[in-house]
Amino acid sequence: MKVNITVMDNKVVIKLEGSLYVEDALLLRTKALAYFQKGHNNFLIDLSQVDYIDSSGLGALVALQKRALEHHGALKLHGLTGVVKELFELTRLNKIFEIV
Amino acid sequence: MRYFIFVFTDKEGFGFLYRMLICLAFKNKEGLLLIDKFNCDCASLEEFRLAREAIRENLNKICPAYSMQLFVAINEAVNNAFFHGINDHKGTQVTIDIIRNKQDLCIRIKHNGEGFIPEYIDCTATSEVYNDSGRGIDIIRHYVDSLEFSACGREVTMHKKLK
Repeated sequence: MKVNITVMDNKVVIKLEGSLYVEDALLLRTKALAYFQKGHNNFLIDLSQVDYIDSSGLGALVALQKRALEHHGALKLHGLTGVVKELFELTRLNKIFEIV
Repeated sequence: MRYFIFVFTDKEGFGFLYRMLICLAFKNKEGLLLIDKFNCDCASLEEFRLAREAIRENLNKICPAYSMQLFVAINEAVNNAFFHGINDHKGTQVTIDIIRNKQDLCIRIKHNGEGFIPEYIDCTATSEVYNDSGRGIDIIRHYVDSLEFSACGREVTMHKKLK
């Protein structure tokens, strides 16, 4: 999985590409947490180029959203399609994330 | 009916990366190459990582209509085996067997680790949606027609009806 992180208008934009497996979930969590330590609390995760996310990847996004809320910020998702969108729906995570 | 035997071994010198994949394949009436049996042994999550694409490709040949759904189920079941069943014991391995019959596809994933009590693995139906984990089994159930644990959680068998 490719991870591209940019900061725009004080918002951390994380663009993911490929399949998000268990080892990628750990990497994503580690990279994103580094931005919390720098004081950021607003995140946008672009999943438009992600063709699969496993349950550990879903768990990583939940953990990051909780962290963002704890820091009085937000974590939004963008570009859910295909199996990724289906997995968010069947796990009901589409109800707890703001999807833009 | 023409039969072929494919043997895939690693070419990168890491030992047996995904030990060995043996497929028995045949050509159907349309000349499409179908594989009716697939086996993969992984001694670590790293080996499974290297084997994933081969599993995806072979599922696409075995059962293109459900290949992604079945891959999702296999990936979750293998993750469960490594993270809940094996507990990092040396010498353990996870075996994935996929057998296609005319109207049914059977996937069996087993390991020789400690095992687990399947009832203790939570599902989203009963767990909090904000939990970081506990979604794997529910995801598997969504994509297969039956799911059964045996051998004290060391073996899981899934069936998918082919239409």
